[in-house]
Amino acid sequence: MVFSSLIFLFLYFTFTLTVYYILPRSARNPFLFIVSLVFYGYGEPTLILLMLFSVAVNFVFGLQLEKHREHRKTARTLLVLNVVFNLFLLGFFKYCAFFVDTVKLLPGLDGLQTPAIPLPIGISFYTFQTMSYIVDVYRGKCRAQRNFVLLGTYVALFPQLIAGPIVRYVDVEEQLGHRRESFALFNNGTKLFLVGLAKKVLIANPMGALWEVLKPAGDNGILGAWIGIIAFTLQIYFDFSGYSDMARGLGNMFGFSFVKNFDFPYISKSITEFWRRWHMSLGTWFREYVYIPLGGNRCRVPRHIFNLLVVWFLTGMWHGASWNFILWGLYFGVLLIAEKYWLHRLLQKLPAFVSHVYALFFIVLGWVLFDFTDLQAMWAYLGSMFTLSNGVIGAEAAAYALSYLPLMLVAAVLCAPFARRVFLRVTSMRFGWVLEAATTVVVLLLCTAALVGDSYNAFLYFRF
Amino acid sequence: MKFIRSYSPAVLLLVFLFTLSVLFFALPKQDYSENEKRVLAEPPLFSLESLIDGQFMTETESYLSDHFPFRDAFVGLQSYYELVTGRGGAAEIYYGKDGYLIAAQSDSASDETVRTNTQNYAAFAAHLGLEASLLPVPQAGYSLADKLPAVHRPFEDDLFFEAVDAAKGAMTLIDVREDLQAGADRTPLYFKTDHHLNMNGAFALYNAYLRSRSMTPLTDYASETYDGFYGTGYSKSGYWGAEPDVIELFKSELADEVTVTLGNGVGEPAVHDSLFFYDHLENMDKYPLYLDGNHGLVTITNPEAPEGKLLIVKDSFAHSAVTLLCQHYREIYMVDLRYYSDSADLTVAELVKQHGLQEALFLYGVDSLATDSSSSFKLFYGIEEALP
Repeated sequence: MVFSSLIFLFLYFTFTLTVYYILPRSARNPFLFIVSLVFYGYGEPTLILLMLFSVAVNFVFGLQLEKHREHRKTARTLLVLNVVFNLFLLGFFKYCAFFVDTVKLLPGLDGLQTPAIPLPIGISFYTFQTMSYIVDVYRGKCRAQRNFVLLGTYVALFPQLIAGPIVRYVDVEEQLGHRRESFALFNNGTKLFLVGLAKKVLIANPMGALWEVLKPAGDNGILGAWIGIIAFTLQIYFDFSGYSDMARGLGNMFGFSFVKNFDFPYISKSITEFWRRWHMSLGTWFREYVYIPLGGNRCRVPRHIFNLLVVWFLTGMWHGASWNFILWGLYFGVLLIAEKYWLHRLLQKLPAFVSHVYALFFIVLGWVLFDFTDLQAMWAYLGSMFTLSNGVIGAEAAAYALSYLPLMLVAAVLCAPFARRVFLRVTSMRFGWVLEAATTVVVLLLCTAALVGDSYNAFLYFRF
Repeated sequence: MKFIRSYSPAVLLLVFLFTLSVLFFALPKQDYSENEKRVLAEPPLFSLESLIDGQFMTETESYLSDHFPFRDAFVGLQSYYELVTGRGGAAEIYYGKDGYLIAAQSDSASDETVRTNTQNYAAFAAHLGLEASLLPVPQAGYSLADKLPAVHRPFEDDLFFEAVDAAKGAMTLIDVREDLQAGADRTPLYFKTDHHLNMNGAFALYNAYLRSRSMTPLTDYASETYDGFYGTGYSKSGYWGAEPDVIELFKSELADEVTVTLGNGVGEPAVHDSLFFYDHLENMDKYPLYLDGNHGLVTITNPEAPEGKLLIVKDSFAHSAVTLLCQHYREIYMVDLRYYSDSADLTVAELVKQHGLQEALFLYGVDSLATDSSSSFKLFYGIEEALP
């Protein structure tokens, strides 16, 4: 189930909220656990079993780890076994087909059958969450959870289940057992949720529609190709950060506080800065559980470069089981290494505007690598961005581009903190609450209209 | 009051979500959406099986969205919101000048499909020795270029007419592009809320065909008009504020004695004594007033008429024009390949042979010619050797 759907907003959410607040405190976590499983199983009910299995195994591992924490050797073995287990789950469900497809390229193995294993939604997110739990228990940063339901609630908690943020166990350990819901927190959550909903429904979805028309390179021309990938640039930011905002907002409504996941990434002046502002919880995870254990930057230069490349290879691979994601990860790895060792000083000397253009250029170019799983189509698209072989802009592409131009401009402005600051200043004035209320109503009406409108399909050649 | 002032977003969110949720359960449900011309989703049936294979969820979603409170109002809000934010040029229906709601050219339209269809008509006609004409009706957006909004995707009718011309073989191409260009001083020929031609446009088609056959069109009619016609452009667009069209019919004494039989080619067809089906005037979409809309096979006999027999292979653009053509032909066999049954008693070729037809008119909207890549092959049932 996704948040930006009628079924979530008008059935699941209203029901869950009502029952949650009617129930006594002691019953709220078990209830959240159950409804989260329903949320998860909505698309594919059998996956609930996978989720329960994963929680159960990690639950046992956590208890055992704590018991044997003093015996470093046993603890270490348990940790390794657990990491193997979790990575096996992720590997089996997410990377099996990719692995077989790659092995098939070897001579003599081309007869292998690619297994058709459907990807369980959210598995990349919750596997990382359970691993953070086990590692932190091992490191003694937190105690093992003795209550199965609480651990289950942590893993399955529906707001952050399918698209993050990747909440580390240490960050919510306290909140699981003792959190205080309040109307102020709820109100704060509402605002976050509505911002996220508007980002997703009113900006990301239309940008996605534009990208869908312009993605097949064809005769769109050089301008059409750039407008297309800029549309995707806007789509993916508003989609993903919108989803994170909705997750954090929903968390607040149920008394939780989750970490911020995006911090205006497109205003960055370097790739290094971009990755501090984009999908922050993933960056934190890789830093804590991969980069630092590998030795981080406290080692010699070749080793440091190796560490960075490993992290970015894995970051790329985490985004999807396909070579283009690995390419995309390594592309950023190389840029980051270049910035760390050479470009860093140059970028500081350049006027802000230039370093800004530099960063955006490579970010936008990166999205081409990200969104084309077919390397040939990717190459063709890059070709149409940098040559005039398809002309300047096709008539159809021009019509679409002009139609979406106003929205693109608004979206571009919203990528910077400026509009947010103005809004906050105005709403904090004496009658600012009127604007806040009006915005709420407009967002609710427009988002509902967009969701209802999607379902409206005139079937005009039937019963004619 | 202070509470509401401080927490207005939360209060409004709760009021909004809960009100609509409750209304969804409380309000009576409709079975049929006239705008969409489809039966709305039925309540989902729960079973363990439907739960596990996900059908229960899919059905619940359709049921919720189909019966959402104030659904049409939300659809309209979405349409107008897109329009005012500049996205009218990306829509399926353009919000044109003077109240014209003009369908965009379909994404799947291609000159390749036009060529294939034209070749098929030509080969069929040649095989059966028919004296055939092809009359493509340009898209409204092509003929009404001055009514289109400034930003719109191209209409490629010229390209499609070239494709027809190149593939037409021995057929006569009746090119009505000029006849249907409506200048500022001329009467409108297309409906405003529908993609079809109005009666004046239909007369232009009739006129063009008779001229090409060296016959004299009749001009003496009694006109009847009915208002409140909301066509496909209206239904598809969600621009609920649009003004309805007036639908008109031309009655002539020469077509007084007609018998119309409707069917799909199988079994006994229904027999009527009028070209006009007034029942449809009760609906929003009144276009089926002419010949009851789409049927696989319609036979119109008019014993008073001067000429012989005519085969018309067509889409719905023909309906209004045929109410005029039947003044001239004693028997008209009107075939709609999209609805003509695969198990019809007679294949189209057999129909031609059995009734000794010698004259044929292929009358299609350019939209069908350029997008329907399957139904013209039905002409070759039983005469596969004639396939080009």
